[in-house]
Amino acid sequence: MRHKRSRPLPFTADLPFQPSARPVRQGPAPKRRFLTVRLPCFRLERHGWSPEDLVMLLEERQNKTIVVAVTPQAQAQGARVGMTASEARALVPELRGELVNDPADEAADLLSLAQAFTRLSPAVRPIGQDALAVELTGVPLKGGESGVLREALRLARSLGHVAVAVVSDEPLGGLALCSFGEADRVVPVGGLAEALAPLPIDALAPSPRLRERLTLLGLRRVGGLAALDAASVAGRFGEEGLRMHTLAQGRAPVDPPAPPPLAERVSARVSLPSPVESVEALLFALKPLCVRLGARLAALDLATARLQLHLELEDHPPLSLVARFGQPRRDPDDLIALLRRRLETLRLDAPATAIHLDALEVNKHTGQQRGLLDPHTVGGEPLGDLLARLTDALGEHAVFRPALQADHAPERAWCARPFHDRPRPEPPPPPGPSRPTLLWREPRPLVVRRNPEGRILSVQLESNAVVVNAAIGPERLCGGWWSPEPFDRDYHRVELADGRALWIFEDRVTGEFFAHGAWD
Amino acid sequence: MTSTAQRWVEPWATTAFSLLEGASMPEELVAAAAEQGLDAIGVADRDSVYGLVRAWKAARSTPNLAVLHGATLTVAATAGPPRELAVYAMDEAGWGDLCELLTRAHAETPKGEGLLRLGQLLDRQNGLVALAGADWARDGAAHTPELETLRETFGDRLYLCAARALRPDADAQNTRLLDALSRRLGCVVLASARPLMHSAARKRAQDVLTCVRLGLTIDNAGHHLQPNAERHLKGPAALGQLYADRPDWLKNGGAFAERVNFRLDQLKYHYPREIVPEGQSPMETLRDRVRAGMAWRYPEGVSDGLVHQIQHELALIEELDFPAYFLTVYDIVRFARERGILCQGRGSAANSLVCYALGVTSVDPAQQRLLFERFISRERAEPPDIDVDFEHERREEVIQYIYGRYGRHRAAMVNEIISYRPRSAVRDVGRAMGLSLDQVDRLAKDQDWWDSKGPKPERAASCGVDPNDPRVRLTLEITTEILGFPRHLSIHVGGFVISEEPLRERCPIEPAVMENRTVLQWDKDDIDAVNFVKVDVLALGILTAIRKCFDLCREHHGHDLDLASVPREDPFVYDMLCRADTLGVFQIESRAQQAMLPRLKPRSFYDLVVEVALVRPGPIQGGMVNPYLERRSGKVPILYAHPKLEPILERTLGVPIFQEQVMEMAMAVGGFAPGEADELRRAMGSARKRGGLERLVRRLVDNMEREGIARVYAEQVAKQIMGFGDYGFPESHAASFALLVYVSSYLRRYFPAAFAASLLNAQPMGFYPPRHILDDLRRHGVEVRPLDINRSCWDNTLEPDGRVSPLAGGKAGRVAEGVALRVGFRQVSGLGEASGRQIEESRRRGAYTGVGDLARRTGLRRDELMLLARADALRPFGLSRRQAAWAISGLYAGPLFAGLGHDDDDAPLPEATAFEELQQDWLSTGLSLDAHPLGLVRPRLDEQGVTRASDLGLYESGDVVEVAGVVVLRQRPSTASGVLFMTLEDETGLVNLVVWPKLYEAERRTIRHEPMLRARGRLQREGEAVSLLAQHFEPVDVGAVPTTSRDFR
Repeated sequence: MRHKRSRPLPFTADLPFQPSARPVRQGPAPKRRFLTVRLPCFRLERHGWSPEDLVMLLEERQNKTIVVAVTPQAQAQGARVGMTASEARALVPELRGELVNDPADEAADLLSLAQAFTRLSPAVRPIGQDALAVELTGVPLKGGESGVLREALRLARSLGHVAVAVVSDEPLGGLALCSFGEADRVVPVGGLAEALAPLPIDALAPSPRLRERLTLLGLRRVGGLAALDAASVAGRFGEEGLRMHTLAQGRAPVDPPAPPPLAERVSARVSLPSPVESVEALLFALKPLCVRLGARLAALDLATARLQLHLELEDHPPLSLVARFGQPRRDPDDLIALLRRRLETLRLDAPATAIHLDALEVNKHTGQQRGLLDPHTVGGEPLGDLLARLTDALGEHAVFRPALQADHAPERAWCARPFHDRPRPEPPPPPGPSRPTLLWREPRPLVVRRNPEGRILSVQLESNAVVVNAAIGPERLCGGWWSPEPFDRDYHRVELADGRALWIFEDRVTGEFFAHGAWD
Repeated sequence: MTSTAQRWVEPWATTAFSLLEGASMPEELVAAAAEQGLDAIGVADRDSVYGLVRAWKAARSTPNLAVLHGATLTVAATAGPPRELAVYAMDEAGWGDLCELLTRAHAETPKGEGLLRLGQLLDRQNGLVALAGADWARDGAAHTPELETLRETFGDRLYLCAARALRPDADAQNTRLLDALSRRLGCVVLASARPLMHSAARKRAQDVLTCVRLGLTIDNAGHHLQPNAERHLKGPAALGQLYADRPDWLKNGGAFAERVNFRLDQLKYHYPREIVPEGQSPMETLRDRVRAGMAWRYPEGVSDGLVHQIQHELALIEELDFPAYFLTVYDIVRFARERGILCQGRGSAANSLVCYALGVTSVDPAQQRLLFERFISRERAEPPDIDVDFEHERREEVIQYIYGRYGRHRAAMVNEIISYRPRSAVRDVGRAMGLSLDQVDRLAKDQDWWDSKGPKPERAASCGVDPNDPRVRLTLEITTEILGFPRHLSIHVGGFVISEEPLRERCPIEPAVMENRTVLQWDKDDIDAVNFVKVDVLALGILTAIRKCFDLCREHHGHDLDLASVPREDPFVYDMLCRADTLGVFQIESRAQQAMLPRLKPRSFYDLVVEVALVRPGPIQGGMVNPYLERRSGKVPILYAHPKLEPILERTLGVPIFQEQVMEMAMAVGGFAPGEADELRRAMGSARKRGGLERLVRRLVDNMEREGIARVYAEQVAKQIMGFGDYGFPESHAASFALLVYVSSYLRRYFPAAFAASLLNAQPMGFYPPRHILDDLRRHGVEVRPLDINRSCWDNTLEPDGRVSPLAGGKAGRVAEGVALRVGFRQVSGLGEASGRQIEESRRRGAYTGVGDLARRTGLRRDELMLLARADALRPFGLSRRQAAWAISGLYAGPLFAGLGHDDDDAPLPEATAFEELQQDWLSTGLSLDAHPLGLVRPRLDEQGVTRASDLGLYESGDVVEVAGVVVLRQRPSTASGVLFMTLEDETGLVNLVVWPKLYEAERRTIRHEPMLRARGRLQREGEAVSLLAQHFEPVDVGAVPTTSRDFR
C-alpha cells in the first residue's frame, strides 16, 4: 500500500502578496497578457497523493458520496469526477477514497501557492479550485512568454505539483485551454478565439441549464457559440450566455465572475538571518511579524481567534503549534502576549530558520470595550481567555464543556464539546433513569457472589468482598449493535455494608461483572 | 408460584401491522404465544385492524389460545401529546363500535395516521373494554381528568395496564401511578409486556423500523430506540418473574380475557337488496333478467340442454341466496354498457350461463363444456367471485358509479398491503443504517426484479459496496429479516365490497390518497376469510385498445365491430398466429407465448384457450407441455391412464391442462367428493401463500394408484397440481381471455394501422414500447408519418395514405389498406394532454404559420414549445429542430435586447448529424422513423461479423452467430428454472435470446445493466421462430442514446 508523501511547503520567497496590484501604465495601454497555470492534481497533491496513486477524493453532498478528484491513474481505469463513490469502486474495486471537507483550507493553500508565484509577477490570483492567473502585462519577462511559461511549470514542479500552463490574452480562456485543450503553449496575441474554437462547450463552464439549451441548438463547441451574434446570444441566454460568448471570442468577459475571497487566510512570514534557539530570540523576531499580521487584519477589518505558529527547524521536521484567544483579537500586543505564553514552555529540538504566522478562525472585528482606568487589564483575566489558555496548555481533550447526548449506553450519554462551540438553547431533557453521580471512564472488573435465586450478596471490587445490603435492578440496557461497541448489560444499584453505593453491571454476553460508577 | 387456575394473558400486543413499529407478523406472535403457553393474547394495532384477520386465522390452529380482537386508538388529550388506549370488542356490537371509531379516527387525518377526540370515543363505546397505560396520568401525577371521564363512561370496562420492561425507575414510577390511579378510580390493573415483537431477536429489526418511521439513521436515533429488547412477547414464566411483586395484576388478565368474546367468525354481513324493483324478490328479478338475457344471447332459440343448465344454475343461486349479488354485478355491467365502456367478466364466472345471459361474460358456456360447480358449489356455500374487466381509462367512471349508488358508508374498495420486497427493503434499511444514498441506490437497483430472497452479499462488491463493511453486512441481514413485512397501504386493483348495513361498522374505512376513493382496512385475503362478498372491478388495457380500434375501424374503414360481431374462426388470423406474428396481441405477445405458437399451431378458438393456459407455471412445471404438443402433432398416440379420464381429458388430448380438469379427475379417479375437490381447488389457489396442498395431493396420488393408474402418471398429475399452486388458469378464465386474444388478433390481422394506433393510444400496456409497435407496423407495410404541428392530434391517428382509398378489411384475408398512421402528441415525452389538446383546438381556426403564431394562439409555455421543437414537430415551418429551438428562444428574448432589431432567424447553427437527430428522437418520443442506433454503427458491426436480425433466417439451427442490439426486454418467468429471456432490437428487427442461469451469473453486470449488447450464441429454430442460445455478451457503445428495457417476471 502506498503512503502519502509529505509535500514541500510552497513558501519559498518572502514576498508581499498583492493580489490587486496592477503594473504601472506608461503610454498607450498594452494588450494584456496572462499566464494561466492549472494544477490538475492540486486537490489530491495537497492531501499528499501523487498522480501514480489509485486514489479519489470524496465529498458528501446531499447524503451522496461524490468523487471530486481522481488521480490520473484512477482516471485511466475509469473513475471520473462526478461519479458516486460506489460507482467508482464498482469500476475500480481497489480504488482508495479519502473524504475531504476543507474548502477554506483548500482555498488558503491555493492562496499560499499564489503567493509563491508572485516571483513571476506581482499580480497573481487563484481562479477556480486548482488554477492561478498570473498577469504578465508590463512585467519584464526573462526568456519572453515562453520562458515564463517554462519557469512556471518548473516552479510548480519544485513545489510538488503537476501543472499545465498557457499564456494568452485572457486567464479564463487560458484555463479552458489548460483543462480541455492543448496546454503548455503560448497563444499569440489575438489568437485566443481560434485556439478555443474546437474545444467543447463545457470548457466555458456553462450552468447545467444553459448547457442543455446550447446542446439542443447543437452548440457543442466553443466556436459554434462564438459564431453567433452577440445581441442574439444575450437576448436568449442572458448574462451568462453573453459572458461565455465574449470569452468564446477571445475577449475578457465584461463582468467576470468574482474571484474567490482572498482573505480567508491572513499570514506573515519571516526568514531568520541566522538560526535561533532561544525563546527570547524567537519572540524578538515574532514581534514585527505580529505587527504586520495585526496591520493586515486591521486593513481587512478582521480579527483572529486562533494563531498558528509554524517554525522551520534546521535539519528537523517543522514544528507547528496553535494558540487561541477567548475572543477574536488583532492588537499586536495581544498577539505577542499570547505567543509569549505559548512559547514559555516550548523546547526546540533544533534552531529555527524561519517563522510563519497564520491567523486562523478569522472573523469580522467587532471591537472590544476597554476599562477606563487600565486599558489593558479589566479586573483580571476574562473567562474566555482563561479557558483558551488552559486549552492551549492542556489540550482540547482536557478542557471542554460536557453536553448531554441521546444514547442508551451510559458512557456515551454525554459528550465533550469545546468551550467555543456554543450550544443552541435546548429544552431541558425529560427526567431519565437515575444515574450515579460519578460515572467511571472505564468500567472496573468486579467479583460478585449471588445466591441461587440470583440475588447479589456481596461484591469484591478491590481486595475484600463487601456485603451488599440492598440491590435495585436489573435495569437492562442494550444497543449499539450497529457499532464496534455493542452492549447488553444488566445494571444494579448496590448499597454496600461499608456505606458505599455502586452502580454495577453484568455483561450479558460474557457473564462478567463490572462497576461503572458510584453515588456520593 | 402461581396456582394452576391461573390464566396467562398478554393483553396488549402490537404486530408489524402497526406499520414500522411492530417487528413481528401476527402469525409469529400468535404462534409464539401458543408455544409459550399463553391462554390469550390481545392484538391491538395502532389505529387499525390491518393484521387482525391474520391473527384470528392463525389462532384457528391453536385451540388453546384466544386472540382478543382490538385496536390501539390514538386519543387527543386536552394537554400534552395524544394518549394510547387499547380497546377490545366484547361482542358483535362492540366490534361495530370499534370499526366506527377507527373509521372516525381516520376520517380527517393524513394517510397512515389516526386521531380520535375523547368525545368521539365516548359516543361509541358500549361494547368495548378499554386499557389505559400509566402515561394517561398527567405530569406523572395521579391527576387525570381524561381518565376520570373514561372511567365515568366505561365503568368497570376501563382497565389500567402496566408495561414493565426491566427499567426499574420507570417501572417503579408506573407501579406507583397505577396503584394510585387504581385506588382513585377503582380500576383493575393488568400486567403486560406490551410486546412489539415475538422474540427479543427482532430488536435490530425493530430499531431499524423505528428509524424508517421517524426518518432517522441508527446513529442519531438515540432515545427513540427502545433501551433494551424487553418489549417482546413473554410467556408465563417470564411474566411471573417480571410481576413477581404483583401476582394480582397477572391474575386479573383471566377475567379481562373472558369479557372479550368477539371473534371474527361472529361477524355478520349481508348483501344489499336495493337493486330489486319494488314488490319483487331478488330471485324474481334475477329470473326476469336472465330470461331476457337468454333471448338476447340466443335469438334463434334455446336448446333443452341450455334450459336445463339455466334452471340448475338458478336453483343453486336461489338455494344459496346469491341473487342479489348477481343483480349487483349485472347493474354495474349495465351501467358500463350504457356508457359505452367495454367490459367483460373473467375467471370462473365464465362457467356460468347466468353470467353469460346477464352480459357479464362474453364466452358462451354452452360451447365450452364448462363446470358451473367451479363457480358456485353447494358444498362450498361461499359467495361467488365475479371479476369484471373494464377499459382501463374509463374504469374510474364505474368506480364512482358504485360509490354513488350505495354510498360511501356501504361501499368501499379493498385494501392492499404493500410488503417489503428486496428493493424497497434494502433502500429503507440502508438509509436507516446510515449508508450513503449512492450505496443504497446501487444496492437497490442491483436487486433482480424476480428475486424474493433478499440481497446477496457476494454481489455487493460489484456494486462498489464493500460486503465486509459491518454496516453493509448488517444492512443485508436486516433487509432479509424484514422481507414480507407490511410497509405501507395501497388500494387493491379493483376489489369492491358492498353491504346492506353500514360497512364501516363491519370493517373500518379510510380515505385513500387517491381522490374520491375510500378503502377498507382489510385486504382481499382478509375479505375472503370473513366471507364478505367482493366484486372485482378491474382495469384491462387491451379492452381500451380494442374499443379504440373499433372506433377507428368504424371511422376510417366503415367497419362496425364489437366483441360479439368479430367474425370467428378466420383461418387467416390463425395463419398469423402460427407465424408467432403477435406483437401487441393480448396475452400471447410474450416471448414464451411467441415461442409456443409455432409449436402448437392454433387453428381454432379452443386452441387459443389451450395456448393461453398452457404457457403457465402449472402445465410447465407439471411437464404437460411436451406431451400435449407431441399428441397434437401425432407423434404420440392419445392414450388415457384410466377409462374414466377419457371424457374429462378428451378435449386436451389426454393431458390435464386446466384446474377444472384436475378437480374432475380427483372426483373420477381420486376418490374425492365434490366438496373435497373444491377444497383441492382452493388449496391450489392459495398454496403459494399458505401451503397445505401437499396433504391433499398425496391422498390423490394414492387413490389414483389404487384405481389402477400408473404411479408415474399420478405423480406427474401431482406435480402439475403443485404447479397450479403457483399459477394456473381455470378453463373458464382461459376462455374469457382467449376471446380477447382472438379479437385482438383479428384486429391486428385485418386492421394493422388502426390496431397499432389503438395500442399506442392505450399505453402504458403490454410488453412492447411504442417504438416496437411502430416498427412492427412498418414491417407490415403501413406508412408511419412523423409528428406534425399542423396534422398531428393528441392521439395517434389514421389518415389516408394517398395510394388507395381506405378499404374495409376482413374479407378473404384482405387487409384494410389506404391509411397511414400519424404519430400523435401523446408520444412527446413531457407534454401534457391539456397542451396537446390545446394545439388541436386552436388549429381548428387554421394551420399554424410559424413559431410565433403557434405560441400566440395556443398560449403554450416556452418549455412546452421546446418539447415540440425537440420532437421535430415544427418541421412544417421549414425549421429544423435547432432552428425551431432558436426561434422559440428568440420569442422570449429579454426586454433589454428587444430593441436591437437584429434579424437572427438564420443563425449559423451547426447542422445535426444523423446520430444527433436520432438521439433527440429517442429522447423526446422514444422512437425514430429515420434511423436506429445500431444502423449508425453497422459498418463497424459488419467488420466484426455481427449479423443483422433480418439475416438470421439464412443460418441453420446450431450455427454460432453474433448479433447486437438495444435491450428491449428481459423476462424471467418463475417457471423457467432461472432462464432469462431477452430481446435485442437492431435496425432490421428483433432477436430473441435465451440466457441460462450460469451465463447470467457469470456475466450478470453486463446482461443486467448494459443498455446495448453484442451477443454470441447458438441459433435455435422452431418452425419460423428463431432464437439464440446465448454464450457470451459484450456491451456495445454507440454513444448516449437513451434506452430502456422493460423487465418482467
